Amino acid sequence: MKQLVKILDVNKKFYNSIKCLCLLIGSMLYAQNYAFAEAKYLCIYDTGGTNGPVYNQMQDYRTVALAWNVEFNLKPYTDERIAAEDFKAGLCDAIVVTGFKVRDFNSFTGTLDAIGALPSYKHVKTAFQTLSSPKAAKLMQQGAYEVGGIIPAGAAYLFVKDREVRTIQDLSGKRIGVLDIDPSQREMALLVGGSPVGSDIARLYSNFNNGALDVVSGPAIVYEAMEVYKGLKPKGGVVDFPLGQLSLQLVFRTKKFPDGFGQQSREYIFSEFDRALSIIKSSEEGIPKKWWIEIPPEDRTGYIETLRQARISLKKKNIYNGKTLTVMRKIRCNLEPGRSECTAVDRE
Amino acid sequence: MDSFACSIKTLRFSLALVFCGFCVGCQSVYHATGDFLIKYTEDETVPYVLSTPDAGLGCGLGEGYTLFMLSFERVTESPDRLGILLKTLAGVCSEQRAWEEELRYLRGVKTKSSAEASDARISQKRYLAQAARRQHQGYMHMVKTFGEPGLGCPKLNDDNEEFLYLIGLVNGLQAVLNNIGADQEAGVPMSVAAKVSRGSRCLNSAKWWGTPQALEAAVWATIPGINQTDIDPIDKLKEASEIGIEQGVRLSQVFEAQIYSAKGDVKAAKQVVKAHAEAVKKMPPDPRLKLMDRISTLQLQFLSDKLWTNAKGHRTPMGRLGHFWDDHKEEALELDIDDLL
Repeated sequence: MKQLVKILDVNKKFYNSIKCLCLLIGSMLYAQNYAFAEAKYLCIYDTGGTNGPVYNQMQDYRTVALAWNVEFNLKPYTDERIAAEDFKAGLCDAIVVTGFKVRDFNSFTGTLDAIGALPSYKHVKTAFQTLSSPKAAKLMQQGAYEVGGIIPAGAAYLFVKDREVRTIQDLSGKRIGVLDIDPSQREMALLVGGSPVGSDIARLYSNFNNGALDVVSGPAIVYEAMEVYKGLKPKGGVVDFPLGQLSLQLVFRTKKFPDGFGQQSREYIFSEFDRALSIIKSSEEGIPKKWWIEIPPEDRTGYIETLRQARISLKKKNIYNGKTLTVMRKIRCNLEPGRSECTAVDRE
Repeated sequence: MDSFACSIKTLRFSLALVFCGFCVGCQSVYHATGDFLIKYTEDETVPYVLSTPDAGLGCGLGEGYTLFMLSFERVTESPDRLGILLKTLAGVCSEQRAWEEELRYLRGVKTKSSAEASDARISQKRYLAQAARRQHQGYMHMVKTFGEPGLGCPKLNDDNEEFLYLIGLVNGLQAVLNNIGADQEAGVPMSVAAKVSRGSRCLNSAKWWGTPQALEAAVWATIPGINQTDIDPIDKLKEASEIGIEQGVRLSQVFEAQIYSAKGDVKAAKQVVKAHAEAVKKMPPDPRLKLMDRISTLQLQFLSDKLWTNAKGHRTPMGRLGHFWDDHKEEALELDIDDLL
């Protein structure tokens, strides 16, 4: 019996030693893994590929991520549908795509570009700052995916062939170019009585320039880059009323990244907000004053209400996330408590 | 006393007259000197520089000579034609410095040094902004000389004017791309790219090493909606490269490789680098345009350097342009030494 106890005791000591050794090796391996796991693939949608501004911005992001012990290989995509498919198939660990496409992964942040929901860059900054705070982290995760940051891409404006188009009613019967990727644009065009003409980004502005479309929307950068000024001649204009706020968002597969990565990423991307905004503003300032169409205050009220009704309708069709609309309404009412919608019965 | 006062007045008047005469004389001397130097530079310096293969000296000339030559706009007609080429050469210097910083950034990423990589990116952007400014100025000298491209074709009287027009267009596209790389710090209008695309149609592509059609196709492939035809820009780029190889000025290959690289097609980009290295070995450059061909080689060498650095942490090894680390190696024949003894 004594011998058995002795053997068991020896075995126990041996077992404990092995256990310690395993723990030591395990923790070393873990530390090594944590320090730098294998490089992750960040797939970036940019129509210009590696020559484009989004890819350029992500090169900076890559250097910062190294400090969080995350190494990225960057891969350019000129078609965001393929980028999203590759992401779903596991060929990319993270992607940067437009807010429209993000709806496939996170309906909450994918609704940030809802029409008329954020009327100024002050509203946008407030929204993005709020969403990059640790308290909002739970909203950033849906299923296997997490949003790692939201980059402003500028307000979308209406470019019209005829500057007499000043009110929503004037859009009735017009051929309105809409992006196939964003169903809300088609819904909105139908809502105002227009004829939506679906297109991809390559054909949208060239169709406007060659007269096949009466109205298109887009950020100010298209004025120069896509030469939209050619389509505005001779009597067109740009309606000075932001229809929506476009964004690019980074989405990653949560399990593939270390804990805390998402929050670090969101905070860093928000810290670059002002830099991104200055580039956007310089594009807007690049549109000569003669093209801007001022909307009189009395007509603005009508615009605001029409867009609000459109959002409510698109929420019912499950295109927009109701929670995001509520957050954005609260931001609007926080910055301008006098807005009539703040006390409306059917408020978002 | 009166006569003394009179003498003083006369002296003052004489001095004023001499001073005026001196100034007028200076102006006419400056004017003549300016005209002479501009003419000499256009007729002799430019062809000489283009016929030398040392891109470093070309870049040095661009940086050292630009302000001196352009200062003659104060005393005679603005030497815009020279400005196109000198700003191009000065832009080459800035681009090369930006390349070095980009390689440092890639090494920083490779060695997982966030601080090094971030610092290199900042420095790279500064040089890209400088390159974009210089190239845009070169483009604007071209606009001043021949008018805005894309609004009909200018009257180009001889080969020299066609050459300057082409170089101005290349400057325009490079300025747009470098400006994007520099967070748009240089403020180059994006519409320049589309104007370059249309302007390139004013030149005979077969005569200019395929470069005009390479420029047009590069813009088509970069900015959506510019291509109003059914022609695939990649086919157009391939054809342009063939023309350039045949003529010994292989600038079109740079655009072809850059577009593959931009779209993430590394395999195709490597093939262009290989084809370029082989073409350089097989056929010497056009003796009148060795500098243009050399700059093309350096651009492709940089692309190769980026690929090597990403994979191996260092640039293309000496004498290995056109070769890559993952090339299929021919199995060496191994014999049994005992059979040979």
